[in-house]
Amino acid sequence: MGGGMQGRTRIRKRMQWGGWSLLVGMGLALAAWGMLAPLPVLAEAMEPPTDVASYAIAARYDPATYTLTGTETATYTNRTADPIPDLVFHLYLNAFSGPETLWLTEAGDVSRGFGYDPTHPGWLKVTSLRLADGTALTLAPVDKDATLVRAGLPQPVAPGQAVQVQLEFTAQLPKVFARTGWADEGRFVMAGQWFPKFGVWQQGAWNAYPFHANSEFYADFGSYEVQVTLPEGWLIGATGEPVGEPHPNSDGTVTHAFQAAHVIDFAWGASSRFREATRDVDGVHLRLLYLPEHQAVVQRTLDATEGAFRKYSEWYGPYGGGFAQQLTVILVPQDGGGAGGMEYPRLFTAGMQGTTLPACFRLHEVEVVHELGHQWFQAVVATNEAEEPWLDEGFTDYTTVRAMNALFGGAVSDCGGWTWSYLDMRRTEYALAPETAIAGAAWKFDSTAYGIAAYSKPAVALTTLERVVGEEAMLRFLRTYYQRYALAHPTGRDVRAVMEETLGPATTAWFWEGLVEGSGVLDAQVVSLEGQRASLERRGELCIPSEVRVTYRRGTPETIAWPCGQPTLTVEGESPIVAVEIDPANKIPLDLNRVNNSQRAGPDWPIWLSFAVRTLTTLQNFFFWGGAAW
Amino acid sequence: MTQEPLTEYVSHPTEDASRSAVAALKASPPGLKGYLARLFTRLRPWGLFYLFISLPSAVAAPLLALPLLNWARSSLLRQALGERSLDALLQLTTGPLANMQLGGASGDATLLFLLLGVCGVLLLWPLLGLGWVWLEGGALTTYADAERPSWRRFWAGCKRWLGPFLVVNVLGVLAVFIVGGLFLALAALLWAVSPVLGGGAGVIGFLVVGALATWTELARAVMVVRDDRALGPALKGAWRVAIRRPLPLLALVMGGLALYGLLFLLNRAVTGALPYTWWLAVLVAQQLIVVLRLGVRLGRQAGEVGLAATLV
Repeated sequence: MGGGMQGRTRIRKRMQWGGWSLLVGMGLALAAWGMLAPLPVLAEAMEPPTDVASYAIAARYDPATYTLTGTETATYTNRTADPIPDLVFHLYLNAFSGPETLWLTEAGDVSRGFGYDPTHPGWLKVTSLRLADGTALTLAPVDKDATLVRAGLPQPVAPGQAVQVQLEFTAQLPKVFARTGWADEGRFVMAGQWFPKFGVWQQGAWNAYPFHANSEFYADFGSYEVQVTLPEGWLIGATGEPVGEPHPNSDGTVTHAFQAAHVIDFAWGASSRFREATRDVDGVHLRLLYLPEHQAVVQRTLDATEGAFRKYSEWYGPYGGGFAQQLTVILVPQDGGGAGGMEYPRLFTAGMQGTTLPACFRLHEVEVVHELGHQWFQAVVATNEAEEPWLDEGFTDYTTVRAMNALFGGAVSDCGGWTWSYLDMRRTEYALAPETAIAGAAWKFDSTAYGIAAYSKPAVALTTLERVVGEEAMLRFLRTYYQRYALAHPTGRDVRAVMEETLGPATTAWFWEGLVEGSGVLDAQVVSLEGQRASLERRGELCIPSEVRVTYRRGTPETIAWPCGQPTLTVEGESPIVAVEIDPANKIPLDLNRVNNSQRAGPDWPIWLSFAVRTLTTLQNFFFWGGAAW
Repeated sequence: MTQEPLTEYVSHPTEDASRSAVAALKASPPGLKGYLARLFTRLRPWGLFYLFISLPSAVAAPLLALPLLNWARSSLLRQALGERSLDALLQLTTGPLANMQLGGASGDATLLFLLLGVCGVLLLWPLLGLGWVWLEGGALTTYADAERPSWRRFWAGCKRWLGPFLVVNVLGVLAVFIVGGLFLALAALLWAVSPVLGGGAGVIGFLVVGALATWTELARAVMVVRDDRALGPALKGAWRVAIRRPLPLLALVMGGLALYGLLFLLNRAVTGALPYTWWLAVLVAQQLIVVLRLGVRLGRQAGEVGLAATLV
């Protein structure tokens, strides 16, 4: 073999290497393009669901006695493969019939800081129940409080068939303390869970529970046609769009008609003192009903709603699945604060938090932005709030963090120039009991643990997830989840599957096993820093891959990856280490103790001296005013 | 007008000089402007008051800041103080609790030491109040004397007027609390009927309380100018000054308040504009404000002595 042959061999080898490199490069490029591929295109509107539970209700409200009387035509369509032998209805208001109910016993007569008034209880009675052919049905209570009632059917409802029943009912609304009732000396009423409502038939049984204090609601999609008769001069806001003009009656009342398609619930609120402000946002009519004392926050409410509305539509998909043209916001009176901070399809209430605080303290905006977020997660994705509360509240609270960041730089307060972020507010609550697992039925938790499991821990966990995987990947996950499961009642298993598909099994593993199902906690700390050597340690069962920034006396700072599987890490530099910081970008707010995340070789003298100088002046001022006061 | 001998002050050859100084005062009073000018020509009170508030502060401040040296090794302190981040501040304070949840010891007594330090400073309040009143005797003597007083006369003035000033001050504080409390209650009651009425009552109450405080302060100046420790005549004299020279008195009081307000805004603007870590610039700026604020108070007192001298 001469030099020429050797030369050709070298060239062939280079060509082979080049060819492989090209193929590998193309493969990498394709993979990169896949990761950077545009997010799923937002649908203009989802596929309309097939109605399961539809209602036509005509009700009259008497503010003098706080009673509702109504007739209801309810249709349940069996979309499952199992025949339905009976009908189960929720009569939620019976939870407030007296202090011995399960709900009040669990809540201790208090809900979200508001107390139950036993002289003004609430209840809901079905006075007549018949099939469409007139056959009378008998209701029997399932639980001792009759918040759940059952009626046997002469014939099961076969798969694909529907059953229609006609009900007459009477309800007394309690004085507002837990979402529903009257307030403002009877001049305000918020009617939520006010009519007999079907349970959810799935997997061969009714998914319906007695009403627990921590629990919220679960219902099928359907269409509603509702008429509400109120005294003249009352303004009403409801789920759904008005049908025609309000109709005056000869007895001085007015009947208001509404319709709503593809919703899981129907609520309404009314007052003789309401004022109205409206705004149109991207084709959706926004209607704000407020009382005169709320005048100062009208603009703030509209601005926060509009801002968050646009963000949620951009991030996840169309409002109301694309089927809704109206959104109603109700600000509740001060003595009706228990009705505030609550979500219903195409309607939410606020005014419980901070309407009288200075504008630099944005609790009101937090409440508005949070309740609006439910329009995507509760009203469209519609998970089971009783069995898996975090799928609604946790995702909504996480989206509240995102919206507060986008609209207000994250700050729930920046009074006096000091900023407090909404994320940190949630993080502080989470840190009270960080080992609380996220998953679990609502009634399994006491009220503090419920707040952590359903709200704050998921909010912090999902924010951590976003910061670790990146915003783009996170939005891909969320948008896929929303669009795939809109109007479909997904479970945690479905969410996990989407997470694995979009974010990968490794990420899903630490999130799901560590946080959702597990009680893992995490504290990464700098154990020691001496000379050219720093020792770091992870405590707790949870591991999230992080980064460490090391600053040397000589040379440039470097960032080192600290993957899982390494409970300790030792850094040795060629020059003395000035400072070491774990997670410098604060990607892991789940870390319980950030004080030990960083250490300097010596104190930060400029900061300390600055504090000492200001302390000096503060003391001089104290001695001046304190002395002058004499 | 009594003319008791000034022998309690000093047994000094200049005793006659003092008497002739009072006579000279009667013959040709310097005028209000002249008394105000004494703030700048007789710097002893200004300097002493500055030292009085600064020396203990200079000792206490590093002691109070010492516990923070622990936190100064974490990047959170710079975030908390430099960026005014409540997030970071909360994490600094709750970090030890989180540590305990993970089975570790708290190991961080920073907050506890800070709290103890603050309590210590608060306990000093009665002592510093006494010291302040004591020094004011010397200050008013300095402004009242026809000739610039000596150190000995200054200290003698401090000693002479401590008791009477304490009595006047206690009376003033009681009056302010009682009258102020009554007006506050009235304002609260009226507010339920009409916010305008309630607000009006509040404003009137504020003015009445301010007038009471000025009256007692003026009474002290009258005591020193007349060299009379009796309370009754001093209060009557102060009342006469207010009736005879209402506008200059109002100008002194309102001008002083306005200057306090201006200094407050200036302090906020300057310290807000300066980066947090520019500690030397902040020190200089804030010390200037402290000195000027002292000057405003002493200037008002010099003016009150000047007004009281109209009775002479």
